[in-house]
Amino acid sequence: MNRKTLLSVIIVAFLTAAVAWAAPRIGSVITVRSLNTQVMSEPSFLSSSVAKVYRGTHMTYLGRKGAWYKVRMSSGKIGWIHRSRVVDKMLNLSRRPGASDSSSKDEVELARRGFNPSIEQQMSREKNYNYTYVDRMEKIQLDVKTVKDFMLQGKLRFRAVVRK
Amino acid sequence: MRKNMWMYIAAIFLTASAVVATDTGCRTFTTYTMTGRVDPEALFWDVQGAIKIVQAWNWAQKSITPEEEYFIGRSVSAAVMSRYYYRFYNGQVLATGQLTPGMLYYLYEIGSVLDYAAQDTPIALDGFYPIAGFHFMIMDNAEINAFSAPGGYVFVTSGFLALASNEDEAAAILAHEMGHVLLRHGVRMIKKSRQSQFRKVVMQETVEAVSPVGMDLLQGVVSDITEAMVLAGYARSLEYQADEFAYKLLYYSGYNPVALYKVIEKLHRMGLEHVASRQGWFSTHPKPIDRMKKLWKYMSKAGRPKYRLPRIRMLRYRRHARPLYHQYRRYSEFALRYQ
Repeated sequence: MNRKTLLSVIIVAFLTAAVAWAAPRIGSVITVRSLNTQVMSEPSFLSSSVAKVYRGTHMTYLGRKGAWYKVRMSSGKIGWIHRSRVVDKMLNLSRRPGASDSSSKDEVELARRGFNPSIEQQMSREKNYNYTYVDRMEKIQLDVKTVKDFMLQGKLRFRAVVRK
Repeated sequence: MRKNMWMYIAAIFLTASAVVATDTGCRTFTTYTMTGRVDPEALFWDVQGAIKIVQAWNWAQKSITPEEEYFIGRSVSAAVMSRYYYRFYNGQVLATGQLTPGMLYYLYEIGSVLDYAAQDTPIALDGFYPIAGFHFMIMDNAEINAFSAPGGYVFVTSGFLALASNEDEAAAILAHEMGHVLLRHGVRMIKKSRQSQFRKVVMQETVEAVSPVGMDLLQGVVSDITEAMVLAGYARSLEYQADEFAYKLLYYSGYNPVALYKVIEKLHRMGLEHVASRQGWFSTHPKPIDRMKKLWKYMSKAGRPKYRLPRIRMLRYRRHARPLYHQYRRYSEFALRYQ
């Protein structure tokens, strides 16, 4: 086996491994990363909501369909959560990234470089940065049912849904 | 020798499939239905999407976490909201944090539909999603303008909303701005000179050191993005990208995607009437006619639907926007003339 062949074999092996690592292992614990989100009964936002969960919630990973993870919550309920809303690891996150206890090691792992709450605190001392309005803006949220009724009334239907 | 060649071909194929598979969650290998039949357009876009994801494989996306983008976005929004002295429509929302029925509530409903569509349909992105979700705010201003900060903060002026004559056109405005957020255009607006420095900070993971130099750098980053948003606008190519994204998002969410073209057309006609004052939106975006041409090409490739809407989406928009229509009569008369 010459050097080139060896190299390509290594590349292939590496890439296969990369694909295999893309999803977490079944049974491992994952953590909610967005401030709050819904766990749905089906892998779709148009299904009914099982529970509302907050940042830092731990759940057990059971499998995936497209961009959705099937999870078991600590209450024993099973549902689906969107992949973009979780970290594939067990981390101790506070409910708000700006909270006072948020300087934990895990928080730093996620927002470790550049911007983090302590920088924000420094900036808010200056006149030009007022975060109170931003905080209030973040409080506003509609529930899934309101949006579904709104879609029904407006004759809106998602045109394409991933078939699993 | 030949054996080696095949090995290389296999390696290249695997590279491509690995990139696609990790990023899109194997969506490339699924089929789509549109009201019961296989939709060739969806397949076309899927392939386009896969290509785009590979293209977007750059440091901005890879090295800045959603958490960091969230904090950048918060600072940019704080700067916009306190520096540019905008009044806010339905301002009591900001005083109390409670949303009451009205124009802003209605805008949130439209935005939430787009929000869910962005995640539920094949447009779904490479695992990036703003951690606080999307947040919308109406600025009470006669200027025609809309902008978005990284991390999901979208601002629209009431003048712009008065220019829309139905719900689909308002959705088109939001979809374009959401495109900037989801394609992560904000971090690309950091000035070249600062970018290398910022990259160094990001790579070295020297963080908690809140040194004066570091503070200067980060404030510079925020002001770069803020200026790009409010004064200079994004790069031309990014605007076209956001248009294309908005077109897809509107299509998948059930809105009529041609509404985007109609909005830009209105701006074009508006621009002809007000050439002298290149203010607000006109100063931060490429010429509407150029965007129309690009979008027309894209629409023709992807299959152009007719511009027909259910009546209810027109009626309920006008019902909610009536106060705005009254306030900015010049725009609304224009909007209704060119609908």
